[in-house]
Amino acid sequence: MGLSFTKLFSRLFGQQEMTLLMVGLDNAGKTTVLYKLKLGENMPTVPTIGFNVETLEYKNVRLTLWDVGGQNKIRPLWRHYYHNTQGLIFVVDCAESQERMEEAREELHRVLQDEELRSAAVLVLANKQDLPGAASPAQLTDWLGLHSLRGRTWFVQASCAVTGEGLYEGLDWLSRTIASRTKA
Amino acid sequence: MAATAQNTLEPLRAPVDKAKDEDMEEELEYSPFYGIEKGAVLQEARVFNDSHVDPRRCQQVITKLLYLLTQGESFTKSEASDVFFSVTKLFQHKDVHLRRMVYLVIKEVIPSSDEVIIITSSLMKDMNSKNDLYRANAIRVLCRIIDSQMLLQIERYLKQAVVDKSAVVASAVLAGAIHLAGANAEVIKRWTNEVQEAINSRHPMVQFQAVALMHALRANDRLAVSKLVTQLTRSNVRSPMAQCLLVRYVAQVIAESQPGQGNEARPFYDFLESCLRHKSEIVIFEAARAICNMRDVTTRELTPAVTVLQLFLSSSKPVLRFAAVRTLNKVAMSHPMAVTNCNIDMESLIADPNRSIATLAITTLLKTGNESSIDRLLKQIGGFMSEIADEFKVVVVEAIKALCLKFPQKYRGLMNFLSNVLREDGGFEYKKAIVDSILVLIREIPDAKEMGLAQLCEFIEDCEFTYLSVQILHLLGEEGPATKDPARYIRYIYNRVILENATVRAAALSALARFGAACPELRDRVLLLLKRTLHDNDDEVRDRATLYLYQLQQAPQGPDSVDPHWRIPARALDDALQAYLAQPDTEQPFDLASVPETVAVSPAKAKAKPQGLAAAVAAGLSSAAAPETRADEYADMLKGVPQLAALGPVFKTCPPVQLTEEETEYKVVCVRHVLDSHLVLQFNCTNTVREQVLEEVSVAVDLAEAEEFGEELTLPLAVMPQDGAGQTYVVLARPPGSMAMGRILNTLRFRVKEIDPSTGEAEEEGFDDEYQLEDVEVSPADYIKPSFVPNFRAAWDALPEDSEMVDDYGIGQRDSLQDAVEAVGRILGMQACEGTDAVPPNARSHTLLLSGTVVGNVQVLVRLAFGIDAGRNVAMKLAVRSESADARWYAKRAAKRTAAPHPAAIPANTVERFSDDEDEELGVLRLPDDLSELEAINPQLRRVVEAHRAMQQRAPVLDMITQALEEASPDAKRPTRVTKTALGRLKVDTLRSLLEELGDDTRGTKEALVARVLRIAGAEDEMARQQAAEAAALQRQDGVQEGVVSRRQLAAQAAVAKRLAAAAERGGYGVPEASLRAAHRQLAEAEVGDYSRIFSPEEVADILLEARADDIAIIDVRGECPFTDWMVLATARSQRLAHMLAAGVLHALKARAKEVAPGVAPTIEGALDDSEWMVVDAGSVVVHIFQGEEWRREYDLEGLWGRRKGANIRHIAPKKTVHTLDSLRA
Repeated sequence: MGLSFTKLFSRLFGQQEMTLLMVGLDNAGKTTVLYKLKLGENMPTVPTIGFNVETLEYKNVRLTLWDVGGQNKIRPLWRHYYHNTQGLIFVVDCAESQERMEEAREELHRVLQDEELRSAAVLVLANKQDLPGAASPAQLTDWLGLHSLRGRTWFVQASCAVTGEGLYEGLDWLSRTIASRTKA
Repeated sequence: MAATAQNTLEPLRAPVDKAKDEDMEEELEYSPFYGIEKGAVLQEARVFNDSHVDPRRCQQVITKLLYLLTQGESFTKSEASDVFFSVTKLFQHKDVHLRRMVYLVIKEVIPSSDEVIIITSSLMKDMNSKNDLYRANAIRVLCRIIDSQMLLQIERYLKQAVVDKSAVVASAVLAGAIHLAGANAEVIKRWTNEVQEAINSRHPMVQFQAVALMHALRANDRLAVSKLVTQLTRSNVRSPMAQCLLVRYVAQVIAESQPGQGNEARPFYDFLESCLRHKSEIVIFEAARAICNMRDVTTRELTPAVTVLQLFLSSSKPVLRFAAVRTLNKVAMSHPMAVTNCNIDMESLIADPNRSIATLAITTLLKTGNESSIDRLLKQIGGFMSEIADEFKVVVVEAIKALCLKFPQKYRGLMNFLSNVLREDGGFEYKKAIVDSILVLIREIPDAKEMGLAQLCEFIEDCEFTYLSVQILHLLGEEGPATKDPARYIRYIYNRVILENATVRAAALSALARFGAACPELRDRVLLLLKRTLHDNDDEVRDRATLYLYQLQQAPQGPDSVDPHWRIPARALDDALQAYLAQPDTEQPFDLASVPETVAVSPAKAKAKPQGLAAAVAAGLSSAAAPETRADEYADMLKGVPQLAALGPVFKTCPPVQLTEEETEYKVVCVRHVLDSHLVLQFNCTNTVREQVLEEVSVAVDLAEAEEFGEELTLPLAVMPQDGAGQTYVVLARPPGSMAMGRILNTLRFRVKEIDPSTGEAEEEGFDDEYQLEDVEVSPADYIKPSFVPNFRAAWDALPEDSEMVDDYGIGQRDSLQDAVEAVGRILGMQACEGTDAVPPNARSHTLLLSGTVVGNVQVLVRLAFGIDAGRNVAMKLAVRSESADARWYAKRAAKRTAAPHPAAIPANTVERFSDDEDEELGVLRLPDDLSELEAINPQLRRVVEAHRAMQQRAPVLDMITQALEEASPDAKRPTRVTKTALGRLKVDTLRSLLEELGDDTRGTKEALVARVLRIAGAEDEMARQQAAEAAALQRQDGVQEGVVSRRQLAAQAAVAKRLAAAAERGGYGVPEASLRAAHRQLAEAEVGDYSRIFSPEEVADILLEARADDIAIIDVRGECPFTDWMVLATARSQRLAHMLAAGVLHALKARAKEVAPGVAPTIEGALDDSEWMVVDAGSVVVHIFQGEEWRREYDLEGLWGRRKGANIRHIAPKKTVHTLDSLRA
């Protein structure tokens, strides 16, 4: 009964659909984020060689979330998944060295240069906030050079994928931003 | 799959306008894939990228993609990449059917390896899913994209999946493993237990794949395969497919195993036989086929298989009928009798609606048919021939031809059949096959000639193919004049002159002219006819008519007058004519004599040759073409050289021998031409070095081992061509009619001129150079050529009985009698008569009849009776008859080359063991007691026998030496003649002990010892004489040319010979050792060393140094050690390196031994048991390699052989570039 009601409901109000792409350097915590969102629990993960894709319902929005591995050899293949992407989630391990931050900045800017992602909203997850010495969102904004981005909607959200802190806040921002765009 | 495909059919149908064309609609009904086009499908594939995926639509698009791929459509890299990535997006959808299609298409379009990695994670996830369908398909794809590193990561999982309870999963992983077994066999081998379990699976597919995998893992190990098969045949293999595989493996094992002795059953035959009663047809057929394909299958073994196939012949399934008739067709080739039982069933198959089956049935019937059934068969086929396509008809015609050759008496009916089908409609290939068959029959069956010619005459009356008409007219011209009534052909031929096109008219004229030339009584009429054609409107026809008229009126002496043999190479003529046309003045008539008769390629032209690939192809062509030059072409070539033409006709041209290795700078092929009193060596030379011009090319021959020959003449080649072959000749004289043999050593000599790369011109100055060629061996077979005897028995009886020579030989172990017959036939080079060169399988005895002509045109007939015993030893009894004793002797000599002594064949009193002048042979020859009798047969033989008998008188001493030689030689078949080489193979200490026993001086180097032994053996004086003669002969030639040896070497050799001769004259034991030593040192300096001087210790040390040995030391033990002069010590850091060092020395040693002391086989002592101390004996240098410092110290050779303070030990410093332990420490 409940199911059919939901269907009816969504039929009436028109369920929104969104495709999100989650990238970032290796070991940033993308897969952990994905399964925390999907299952609400901590899955032990192995380095993703390839991608994971899950659909989840959040606040009456049907999200298709692509999590593509961050290893060096997979990064050139990210571009195949830009098409139709409305929101980009860039996950950064805040506890890592300056060099890696530099690397992350380069990758992020390279991704954002792509024509197909021109209109995508960018959510930066400043992950691993629970670790000692993790950079703050403000610091990260600086390092990633986000201020230099022109004509781009972006947001930095402090998060901890293991506990789930900040994940839903980030999603909230994304869905709001995308929804407002489609309306406009 | 079926369900999915069904769903997709509907929308795939192209839209049809029903009102317009109903037929069209019907056709489209059958082709749901009509009009699928790559561009459109790729466009459609974009639906995969939609955010909202429609699984059904996606499946349809994937189906189209798969259709395109299986139709052989190829995608570009970027297209494949696009499709691949858009397909990966479908992983977001959980639809099972869609996912399966996704896997299928991914497997087909797998792009480059660095992109395919993107699905790895998804595959791993699916592999662990609960859904078997996901798992199986994921595994299949994974096995296709996995690399060995990743395989190790998931190995545990895959291994478990082999025994998964889901058959789909197990079969997927097994199929994948078969893929992987190629590159990752090691990993897969660890799954053996699981695979073994899978073999016992109830599921047919799993069992099938498990068996295949198990075999794939062992494919390289014959023993393991055999074990596997044994195990499987005992266990219960349920799956028919697995059983089929097993049958195939069994067949393979049978093929590799030796057939059982006598009546012993073949291994696994019982198994195959039991498979014939299997309930699955596929297994029955597989087993039947395996039995039919067995090597040397007996009729008894065949019978059950043929019976089963016979049942299949009347099956309602066409595929079974086809399979059966095809197998029987093959069996009919080897066992026609076994198939006769099926003839009735087969005859009904002639009317089979499937034409392939019908044709196979007919050809099988033709093969099995006996003489009586031929007519009936022909009648049946006659009706059938008009119904089948040309390619089938060709097969039938070929079969008829074969049948006719088998039953020559039946030629009338068969020829009639052929002429009947010749009259029917048919394409060119078919008609050509018939005409070719008739031509063959005319050639092979003399009786059929007239009839065949008549048929062909009729055929050309109405022949639409110019090619065939011309061919037949030419044949008429050749054969017609020799028939009983040549006049009857004139009409047919002249009809062609009136009615046909120009090409045929010209051919007909040539044929007419031949009649005119060959039959004087027809000449006037032919002349009349020729005159009529003088006004033909075609130039060629008119020209020919004029020419023939002129020739027939001027010189009526037979066919040669109308078409003389053309001796000028077409290419040379072409070149000459081009040159003639190029010159401004064409007033002078072209002189045919100006055409060079050998093909020479100017360097300028060679340079203009196409570069790169084209050149390589050209070179390949020329090299392929060169050896195939036919004997008559050679004859023409020889006739073209005036000096050679004067020598008389060529008796036999032997097959070409390559004298250089492939891929060398100069390619030289030698052809031996045997003439009445000469042997002409023709060397075809090709230069492959583009940067050089080689001029004044000649071949210097060294006749030291072919004494009966005398060099008469050398014809050098001006320039060695770069494509094609230039010829240089050497003419050797031999006593008229004699058959001299021996080994001729050759050296290619030439003047090299470099080509300047900037100008492309050859430089002015050149330098002389020489190039060592392989030896040419002149064997008895060179003097015998095959000749055909129509009736062997009559010819045999015609020769006087007392001209017969009989002898027995054992020719050792052979695989089969056929093998022995082929070997003997090859060596004798004679014609087998009455088809006796084919041995029936499993025969225990066989008689081979051979006929040949020996130089001097003497006929020789040979009857060879072979027998094979249980141990597969073949014995042969030889009977030769000929009018000439020489000829008999040579046939026998030739036969002996295959034979090893056969103990049973040696009657004790008359036969003596003796070895003749060829070291590798040890024959048995029955010698007459009276030597003067021998003189008549062969003077050389008499000399040898005399020498031998003289030697026997010194028996006691000789025996002792011979015994030593025999003990030292591991191979008992080695000659036991006391020669320098043979003695050289002995170890120095053996020689010393031998001398001690003989009571002689035991000091000195090895050469001195050998010389001493030889002297004692009484052979020394002869050797000295021989050497002196050799040296003298060489010196005589010296003015003309330098042979293998340089002047310096010659001088040194002569000096040695002189001293030896002097020593022999003095006859005393006190040979001045110092002088001998000096002479030998001189020899060594001139680089004519023997084995004991093969290496200097420094050279060995260098080799070791290069190979990274440590701590190399040379100990000088001259005067202290009885067996060697130098010891070289080295330490290796590991066992591997120790082996490498020893192998390195051995390699260099072998390479050198090949030049210096052929036949010596150096080895590594201690290599087999991985000893810590390895020794290589290199004559005067003995190399010791220790594995590690401690062993070096343990054995302490330095302490043992070194003098005080190591005065005689020299340590070799490591090279700077090579790092050894020492240098690293420093």
